[in-house]
Amino acid sequence: MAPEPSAIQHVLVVDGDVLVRHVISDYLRSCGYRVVEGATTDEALVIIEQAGISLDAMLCDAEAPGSKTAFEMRAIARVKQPQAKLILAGNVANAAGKAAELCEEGPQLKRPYDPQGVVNYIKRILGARENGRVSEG
Amino acid sequence: MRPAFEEYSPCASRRHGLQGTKVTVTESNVVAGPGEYDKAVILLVEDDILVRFVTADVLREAGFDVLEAVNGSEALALIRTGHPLDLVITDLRMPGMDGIELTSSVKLLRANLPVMILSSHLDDRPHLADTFFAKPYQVDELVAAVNRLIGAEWRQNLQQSSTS
Repeated sequence: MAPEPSAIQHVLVVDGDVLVRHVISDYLRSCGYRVVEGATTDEALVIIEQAGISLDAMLCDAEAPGSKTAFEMRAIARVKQPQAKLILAGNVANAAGKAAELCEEGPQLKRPYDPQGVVNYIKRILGARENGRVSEG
Repeated sequence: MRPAFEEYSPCASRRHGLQGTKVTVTESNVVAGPGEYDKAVILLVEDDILVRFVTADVLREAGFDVLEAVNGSEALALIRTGHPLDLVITDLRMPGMDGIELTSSVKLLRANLPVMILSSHLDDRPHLADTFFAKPYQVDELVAAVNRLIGAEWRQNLQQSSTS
């Protein structure tokens, strides 16, 4: 018998690139997580320390911008949110793979779709931005 | 019809129930339009993460799909991907590009896309926003204001498609 899906769970996604952060967050939302998006480690620390949210997981770009490094932020999160699963991702493919793993153990206990498609999509829009078709203004 | 890009789109695939398949996104369907998706899509631009998180949560609870940007540059980057959008909600005071400057840039890219500026301060500069909304706000008042604004681009697209 398949396990019952659990209640809503919170994931904090931290990435300095909005195109990556948005797609990874959208992927996690589509498998039932309530996602908090942070652009920097400083924003992440506000959520970790001040928002009153019990995080179930934190998926952070290892090179996320901010006054703290991702590793320093993870050390703080270990103390402030000891229940949270803390994941550092080194690149887009790694982030999508980790998001897929979170989905398999998350509210709906399954991947919404193949994470490689997510990677391809992110690479495409990042490439478009670098080629000037999608500019940061 | 020339495809704008052919790619697996997480957003589009979920909305259309095309999980695990490739979808073709064309120039005609990257713009917002009535009935195009089962949820209206809002781009929320706010530099305070607690305000952004709470506001996005309120809007999602009200049934909207919400994209989040921390500043004007991120907002423009998201708009330029061609992601379907029905409304931009932006804070007025932000580091770098403020809400009025962002509104001007948005209107250059998407003239019919409604923009709502949230502000706790009066600003008498000329602007292109469709409405100002005062902070702090009641949740139900914000949702009602959003519902009043969304639909302008829908109607515009309907008129364009019916005359073309």
